[in-house]
Amino acid sequence: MKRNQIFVLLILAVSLVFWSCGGGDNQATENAGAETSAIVKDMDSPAEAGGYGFEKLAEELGYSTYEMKPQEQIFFGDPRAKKGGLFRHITTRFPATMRTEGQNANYVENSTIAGLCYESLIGTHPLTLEFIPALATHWKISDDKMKFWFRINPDARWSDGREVIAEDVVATWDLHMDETILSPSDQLTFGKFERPVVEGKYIVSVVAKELSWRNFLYFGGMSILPSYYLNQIDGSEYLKEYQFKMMPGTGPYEIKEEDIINQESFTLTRRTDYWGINDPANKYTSNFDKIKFIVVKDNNPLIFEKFKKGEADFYTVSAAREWVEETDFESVQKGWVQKHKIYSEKPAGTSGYAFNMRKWPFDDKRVRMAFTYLYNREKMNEEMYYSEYSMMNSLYSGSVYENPNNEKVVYSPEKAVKLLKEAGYKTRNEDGWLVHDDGRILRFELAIMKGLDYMVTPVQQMMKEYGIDMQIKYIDGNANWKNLMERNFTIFMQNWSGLVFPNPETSLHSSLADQDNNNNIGGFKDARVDELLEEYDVTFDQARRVEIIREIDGIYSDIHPAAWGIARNYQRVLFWDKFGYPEYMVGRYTGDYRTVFTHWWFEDDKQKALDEAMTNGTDLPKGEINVMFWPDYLKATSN
Amino acid sequence: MSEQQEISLSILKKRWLKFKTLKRGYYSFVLLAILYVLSWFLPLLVNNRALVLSYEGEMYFPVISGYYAGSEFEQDVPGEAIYRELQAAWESEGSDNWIIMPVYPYSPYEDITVAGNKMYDPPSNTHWLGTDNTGRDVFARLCYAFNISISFALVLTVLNYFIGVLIGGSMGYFGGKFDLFFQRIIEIWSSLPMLFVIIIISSIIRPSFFLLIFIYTIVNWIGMTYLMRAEFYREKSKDYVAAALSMGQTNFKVMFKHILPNAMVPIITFFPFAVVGGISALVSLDYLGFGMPPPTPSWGQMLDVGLQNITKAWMVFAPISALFSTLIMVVFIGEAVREAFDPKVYSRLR
Amino acid sequence: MTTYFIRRILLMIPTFLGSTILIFVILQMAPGGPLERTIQQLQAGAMQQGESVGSVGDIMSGGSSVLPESAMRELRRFYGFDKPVYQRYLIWLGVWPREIKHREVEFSGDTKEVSKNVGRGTYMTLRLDGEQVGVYDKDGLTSDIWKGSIDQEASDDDKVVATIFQTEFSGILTGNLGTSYTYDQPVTEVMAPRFKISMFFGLTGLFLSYIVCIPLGIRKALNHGSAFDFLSSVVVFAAYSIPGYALGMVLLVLLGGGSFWDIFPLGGFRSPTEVWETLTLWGKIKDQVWHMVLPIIAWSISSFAGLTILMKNSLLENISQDYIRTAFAKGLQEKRVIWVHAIRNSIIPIASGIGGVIGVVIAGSYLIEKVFNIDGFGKMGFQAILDRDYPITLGFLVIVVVIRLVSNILSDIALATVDPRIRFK
Repeated sequence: MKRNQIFVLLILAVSLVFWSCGGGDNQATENAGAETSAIVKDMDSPAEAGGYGFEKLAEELGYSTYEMKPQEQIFFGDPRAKKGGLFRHITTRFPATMRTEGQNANYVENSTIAGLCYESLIGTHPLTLEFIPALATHWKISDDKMKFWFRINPDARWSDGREVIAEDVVATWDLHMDETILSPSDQLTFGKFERPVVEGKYIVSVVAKELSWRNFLYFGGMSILPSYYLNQIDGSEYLKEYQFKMMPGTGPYEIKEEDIINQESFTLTRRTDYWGINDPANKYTSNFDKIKFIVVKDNNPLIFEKFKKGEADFYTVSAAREWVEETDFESVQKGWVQKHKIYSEKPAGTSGYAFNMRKWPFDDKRVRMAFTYLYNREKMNEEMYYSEYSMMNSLYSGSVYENPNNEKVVYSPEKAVKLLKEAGYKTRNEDGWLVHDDGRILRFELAIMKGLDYMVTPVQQMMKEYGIDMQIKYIDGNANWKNLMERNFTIFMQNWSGLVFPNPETSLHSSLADQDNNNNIGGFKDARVDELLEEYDVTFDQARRVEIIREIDGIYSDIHPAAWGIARNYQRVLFWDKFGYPEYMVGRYTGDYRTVFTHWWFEDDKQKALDEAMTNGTDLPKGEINVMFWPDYLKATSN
Repeated sequence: MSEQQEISLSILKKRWLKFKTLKRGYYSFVLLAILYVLSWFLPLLVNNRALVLSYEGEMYFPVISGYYAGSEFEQDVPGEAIYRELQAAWESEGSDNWIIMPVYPYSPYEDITVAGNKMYDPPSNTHWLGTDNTGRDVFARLCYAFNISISFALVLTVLNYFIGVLIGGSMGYFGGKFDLFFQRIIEIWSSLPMLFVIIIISSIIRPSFFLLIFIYTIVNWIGMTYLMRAEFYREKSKDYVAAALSMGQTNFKVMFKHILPNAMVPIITFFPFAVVGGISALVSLDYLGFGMPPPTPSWGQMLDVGLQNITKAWMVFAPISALFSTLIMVVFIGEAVREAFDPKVYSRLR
Repeated sequence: MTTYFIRRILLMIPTFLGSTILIFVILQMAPGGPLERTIQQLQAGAMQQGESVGSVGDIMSGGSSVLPESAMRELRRFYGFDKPVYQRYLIWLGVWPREIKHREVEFSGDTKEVSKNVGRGTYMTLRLDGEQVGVYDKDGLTSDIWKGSIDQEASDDDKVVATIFQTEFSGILTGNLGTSYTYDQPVTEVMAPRFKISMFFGLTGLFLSYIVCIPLGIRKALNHGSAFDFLSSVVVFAAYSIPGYALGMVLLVLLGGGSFWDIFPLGGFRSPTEVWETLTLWGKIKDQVWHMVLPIIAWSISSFAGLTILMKNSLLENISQDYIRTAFAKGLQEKRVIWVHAIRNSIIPIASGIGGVIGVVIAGSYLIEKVFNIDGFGKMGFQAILDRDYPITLGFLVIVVVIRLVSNILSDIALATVDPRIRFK
């Protein structure tokens, strides 16, 4: 339900995982020259325009920055990391384009490319989510929090050797605002700002149109593209020309044109001349020489077989059944393939059944609650999901935003029957269906996409036992979506991913409840929530924001527009034992395979040991299955 | 007129006798017919509702009369009585109440929500063909799916025949512009993107047995039309048609009273193969998720689930063997029918 | 005869138009078109499948809730939905001008003149002149490539919204099938390689089933009613009742090397391009064959039954014909009678079926292509339907229709050539 929150996650994911930290200060400039001697430094720009020497003025001018503390090094890349090797990842879709912006570029593959090949002005700290330097070394926020300044690192270079300048930021913003890139949400996001202003060669400022604590993240998280290329074209030409061609980037990877094999694979190559390569905050990340994305469409069993055969290095197990029943093959038993359940603080998202509160029968809270009490998810977890999950009782399950006072719903048919009686469903007809006093049978339809029936037919049986006729039909994904957006549904099985910074406005504001085509699916309306939402946007204090969201969560739980499902706070992964990785394995908030691209590295010795073990049929040591680094860390730091 | 009917009856009789001598086809027919008739009584044979139950002197017939709350029999369940448990309880108590359960006391719908059912139970005495990924009995589902598959194929074929004979027959009989026009219509119609039609319709209403039949008929009548057109075209030029017309018979009468009986041979010999086509069509529709809505038992859905759980062999094996046995029986019938209807004797040459 | 076929070919034209109109109209009715899909992409987050709660969404989204009207206009123009259906059809055919490179211009308040960047730093001047918009280049001359028009629906009292665009005739008649929404490439470019792959598989499979089925059918006919006949029927129908995709999946798991025996590759049309290009010619052939074994088995297994039975029945029919009896009566040898007379005539129906089979081969292979991760024509078509990729869907269906029409004629020609008794009028 929190779909729009994903945008923030995008920024976070991009900044957190992919480049962790951008331009450092002095050491970086000293070392950079050694390896990339060809680059000419611009010593002429005055410090006031952001040139060298700006660091000394920064504090005086009101700029701030963040310097990595030595004890944090591991979170910015493990010093044991070595460069080299190939990482093969199977993806289920060949991106429609290699662009990072514009039409068809909002898939996860594109944001991965954006994260590895481009950089934004600032990033967020992998532990604390504070702002950290990326392309910009320093930043300033005006007292009224409406105007931001960024100072770009004069060492930052595009892959064609050009300098990164303030003009690039303006050109990138212009591109986002060009409606001919056919990505209207860009105009929504970046239309919250006036056109950025070049204040000096390396200094750029921007004014927000409305106060919101999110603005700085949005703007600072924008991937910067080179103005030299952007200024020659407009949006529609950008779409065409860079369809399968990369514009030079500043990030540690690039995609060569010959490595894009349409519908088959694409490969990222590490740039040895990456400008930030010697910064300790970047030094130990982006270790693989090549990252190859192999495309296998719409065929999960084949992906798994390919992994087992060794044609891919890493496999994420999504279904509990697969994890329990299928992951005990020889390579796992012998330790050639490592099997781990990695816990993290990745937001769990929401899953379950959303009700359409605008119409019968779920306009009645008692019926909604009855459904919830009858939906025996504990039983399904036990009988079908091998007790792999925990129960979700909040929009923000397992995070600081969860309201601890939310009702912990458990299966309680007595309550349900009582509520249904109160709501007027007292008798059953000869087929066993509940009938309302006015003669209506308690019957509604649930549309699902193919392949999900095993998750809903047991619920159907549970409802049937108590006389509720939930009819199921298959529907094609587009039709399902259209029905949802036109509010042409009674109940909807939902499964949204979560965000590190919640953004409930887009799904809970009452002004959206009676409109079509927005994310307020259930028709949620509450005056107090509206008030809180308004406050939330302009609250810069994180502690207060947590309070606000908790209160919203409480109200939401009380109004009950959804019967929540199951949650988990870990990833199940398998990988061939030839990699080195930091102790925590995945990022604190990203929690999934994307940390591998940036923080893992290839170990020659392990590869040799693996090859040997496989030829001789011997065992390799197996690691502990549960990786509890982040839960332990949380415990240690909160004490 | 009646004389002619008598003659054709006796021809039919002859053919039937001939059919009976073709053992493979005949026995397949008998077996399939029995199974199909039985499948209409599946609720009496494979079900979790009791056939008869005597409780405190009163008789109940849950299979026929439907829903009884468990509380009526002092069973502590919220909804419908669980008769299997009731039976076990009464037997162990040695009470006067008794219950007669169907031969195979599981329904195709009950899953893990009913206590005692487990998913992925391998085949055993209780679950002959094991259980599926939600703990439903595979054998029970197989049986019910048999009924649906055969019914679907039969209704579909009959409907297609009806339309095919009507349109194809007219095309062959009248010929000329009418024929030319309908040929174009048919060519255009056959380009109809079936999948889209299903997507459009199922986004509005929930697909059901008859809706699927309707959709399939929209596309499928064309095949039969071609056959009938050729048949009527050929028969039209024969003398008896001219004779009938000269006697002042209407076109309609000529077509259906005179030509149709003579065009019966391809209709009947093609029938079993059309049924095979119908069964396969439903399987692939269900496999793709555009068929009967869940939880309707169907071979296509079972095959889909089986392939997703390929390590649980019984889930793949069951629908495939059911499909195989049914199809091969229908084909044997088809071969025999063909032979019985053909006036020429297929025999070794010397 | 020749006139008959010429007439047949001419009759293809109305049929083609009728079919495409029908398809076009059906597409318009399908719920959730490309416009909605785009909105979904932009607005929706991770609507995921599976119980895998919590994994990162497939789709990222912007920070606001309702897309602005101007954005919707832009999308509508891009997909051509600002035009009525009949115009869209004619544009698609290529007989109505298609508006390309359109950009929106706004005249707010009393402004009568706006300068607009039309790409590559070229600016055109738009001048509002009553109900008309004039487009002028930098010399003040009326542009002959750019045109302007007012968008009445978007305009109101405060502002006039206009578009500047170029026009061209580009449609199926000019050989342009448009650009795919999901692949972002010209439809012909998307289709060509996939068509080749599917034809390659289809024809190989077809060839294979013919060389298996014809001899088998003959043998069965000659031994009608024997144990061999019975057993081979059982085998052929067993193969028929096991869906090819199911068999393919089982074979992949068993022989693909992931779990059991490592004999065949795990899907794919051939080795990855970077490997393929290093292979010698012989290596390429080996590689291709090695990759094709399993898909071909899965592909052709179900077609064996139909062909075998067709061959058998057709031969049986011929054997009981009078002319065969006459031949025997004349004392000809059994072998000669069967092989020279009966079989030649029995192949007629099979030969006439060739045309129809080609169409089936192309369209009916979606599931097998999916199982083996082969980017074929069937998979493309099916996916395009699910993705509402109209240009691809239309292109796909048009090809299928044309193939069907052509193959009908081919069948007739084949029939007429093989069987001299057949005369078309």
